[in-house]
Amino acid sequence: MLAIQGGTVHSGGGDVWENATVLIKKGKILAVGADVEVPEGAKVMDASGRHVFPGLIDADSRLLVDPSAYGTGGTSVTLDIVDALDAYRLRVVEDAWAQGVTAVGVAPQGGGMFHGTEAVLKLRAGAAERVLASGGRIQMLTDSSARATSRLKGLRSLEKELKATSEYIDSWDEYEEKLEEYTKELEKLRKKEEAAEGEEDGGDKKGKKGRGDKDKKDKKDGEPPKPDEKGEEEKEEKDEEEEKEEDKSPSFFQRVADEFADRRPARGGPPPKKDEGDKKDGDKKDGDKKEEEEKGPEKPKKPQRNANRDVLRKALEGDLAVRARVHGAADILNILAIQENYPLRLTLSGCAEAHRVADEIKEAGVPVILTVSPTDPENREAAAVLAEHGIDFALSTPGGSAAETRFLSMCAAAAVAGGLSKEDALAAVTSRAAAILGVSDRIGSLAPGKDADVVIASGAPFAASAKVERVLVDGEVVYGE
Amino acid sequence: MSMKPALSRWRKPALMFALLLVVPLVASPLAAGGGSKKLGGPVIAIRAGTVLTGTSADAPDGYVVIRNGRIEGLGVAEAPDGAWIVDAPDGTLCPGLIDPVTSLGAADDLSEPARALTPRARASESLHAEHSGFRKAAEGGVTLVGLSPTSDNLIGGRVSAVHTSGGDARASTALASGPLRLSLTRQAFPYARTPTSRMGALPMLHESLAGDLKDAGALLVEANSADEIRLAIGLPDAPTRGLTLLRPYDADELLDIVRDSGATAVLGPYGLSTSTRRLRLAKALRDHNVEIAFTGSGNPRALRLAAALAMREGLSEKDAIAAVTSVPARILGLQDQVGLLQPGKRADLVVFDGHPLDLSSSVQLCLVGGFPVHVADDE
Repeated sequence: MLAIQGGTVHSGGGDVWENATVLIKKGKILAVGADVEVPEGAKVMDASGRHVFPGLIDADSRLLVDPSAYGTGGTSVTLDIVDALDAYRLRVVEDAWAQGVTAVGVAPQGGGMFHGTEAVLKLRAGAAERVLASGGRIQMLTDSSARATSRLKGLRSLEKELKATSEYIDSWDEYEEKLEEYTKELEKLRKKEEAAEGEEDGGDKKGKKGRGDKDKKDKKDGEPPKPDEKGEEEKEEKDEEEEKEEDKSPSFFQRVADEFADRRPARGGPPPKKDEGDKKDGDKKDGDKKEEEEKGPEKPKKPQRNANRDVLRKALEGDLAVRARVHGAADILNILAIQENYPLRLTLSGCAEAHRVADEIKEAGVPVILTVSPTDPENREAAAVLAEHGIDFALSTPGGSAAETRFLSMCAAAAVAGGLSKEDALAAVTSRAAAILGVSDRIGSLAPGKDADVVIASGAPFAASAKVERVLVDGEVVYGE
Repeated sequence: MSMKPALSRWRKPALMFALLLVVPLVASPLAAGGGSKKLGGPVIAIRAGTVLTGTSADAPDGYVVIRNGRIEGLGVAEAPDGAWIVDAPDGTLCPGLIDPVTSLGAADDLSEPARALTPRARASESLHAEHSGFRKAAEGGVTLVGLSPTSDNLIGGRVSAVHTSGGDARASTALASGPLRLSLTRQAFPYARTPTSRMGALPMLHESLAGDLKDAGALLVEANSADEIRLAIGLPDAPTRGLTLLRPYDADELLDIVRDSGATAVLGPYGLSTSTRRLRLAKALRDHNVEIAFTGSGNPRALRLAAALAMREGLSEKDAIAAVTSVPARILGLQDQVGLLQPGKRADLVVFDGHPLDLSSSVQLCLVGGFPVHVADDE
């Protein structure tokens, strides 16, 4: 057990206690406050005359990410930034600790309309497992150049993609509905056949076999599947392989069971297992109608799987959050307009000129990760305006390079110069940042039950002369003696 | 920027700062011509919670009184009759910040690309005194800047010291012929003009400095790498002239040599991604008794950021303040006029609502030559 005693403790959530104690046990905070009793045997860390606050969190950082994660490319929303982490950049981690930063939000960038999922990293010692959360939020409009050259075009293709995804969802819903009907019809037919064949001898067996034969034949003279309007990747070879497999096991029940298995859209989207639906659809025109009528109902056409749209589907259905990188008031309004039509769980980041459209942001109820640069006056005032409007926001470094993250407190200080209160500024780089990143159950405030990520500094969080003396992560001293 | 007669409300209500107008305004500061040549203006008495004089002496309690554009006295018990009284119990009063190397207010290029040596050029010839950058600088607490030729010439010409009061060019130019700006970086000998190499450049430079420019005074030399720094220190009479090294990034490799040369260093601008090594250079130089100044390239926030970042990497508060006030004043040759809060000095003063190098502080009042050029607005 460890007690940090005697300091001015900032909870990160707005509370400040003079001459207070932070009690830590097994890497978690046990108690915080001015009247916390220190149990006997606890190790005492003297913090008198010091300020104690939660480890700072840069909600939009490049720390520990291999620069290759920021390449350009098409929409590839199935990517995960965790795959691009470089755990061994220990030097930047030490630099970050030295300025009080203990966690970062990292997100892929530069992938056009949509890009992969972000992660929250805790800056633990060594190259230990650092991912605190991942996979919860995809990136939208990450490629500023695409927008800068033609913002209209960029937004139009964004809407187009969302529309296509909506249609994709509809087509799958429709397919699944029809498939259910079809299965029921087949079942009926089977019973009827059974009843009929029951009169003859061993009819059941024969019926099954007959159907298998038919399938075989259908496939051979079936048309190739119609290419999707966008020509999306469809793995023909794989299909054929699977067809062969199917030919070997043409059991009717097996086939129905497979169809149902196919209906489960998993994360990232399952690869298309078989394409029988398409083939059958083609067959129908081939003059098999008679047989169809005799044999049973028309099998519905199965839409093509698209891995990107399977992910976007989750975003549209609210299972995945979306972070949009916006640069300027007009950009923000355009994104909010899109959100009106497509119910995305949106977070805005970057957000230059956010103060000019604060009313609209407030109305949309969208949280903001605001980038503040200490040298550019623009967003300094934005933070104060967002606070006045009661908008949920975090502050982040400009994010041009991994090295910027360590000076997050400078960015927060600049926001204070723009009119934000000091405790609000601290909250925006601790508790609010954690909440917007979805990790507030673990980090971002000095409160019982939270991880003991604690900074002890010689002065108030944003004072020029304040020096970080000690940093604890999970209750262990990682910086300072 | 305008002075409003009713200044009872402030942007931050919690702020205990209050500027009380005891006498009506004589005229708007700009109309009165807030320049160096024409000092004057109202009698002002400022009392601030913290006063940073920049000298070894602490400021005695009481008012800092300003008359005729100069500091008349410190620790004055009673404000003179009829003076404007500025009471800022939570504020910090300090000398106006000085950025020694900028292109602020340049109406035209600050180099003459056709020739490598243009010692007669003066940056003030390119000055556009009404440039809006001066207002922004004053709003950020910068009261004087060095308008400097660029590093495109071996000898670029004279740095001019310009007040940020704006308006009349002649009035705002404190010193037209400041230090001579030189460059030893690759940029100074392009292939399109003679000399095209350092081998060709050095004899020309030495000849010129030992000949026509023997008495040209102080030098401001851009020298980034260790070899460039050595060359700068080896220029004719460099130590006796007064040598300032601009951005001597590798100086940490030859700290003793720089110390022995008596050179001063100008560092910056720094950004958030500036390497820790560069940020630590300020402290390393001070530890070797080398005077340092910072530049923000004319952006007052960048100037304060440079000092604040260096403080994060160990520079003392006192050295950091000096690096944006008294040291740059000396580099520009105006140490008798500005850079310290002392009786007789020009009233280039700033009141911040916190510590000047806390990026969370803002400028509440900025006086240039005794005239308020920026008063924080209530909106």
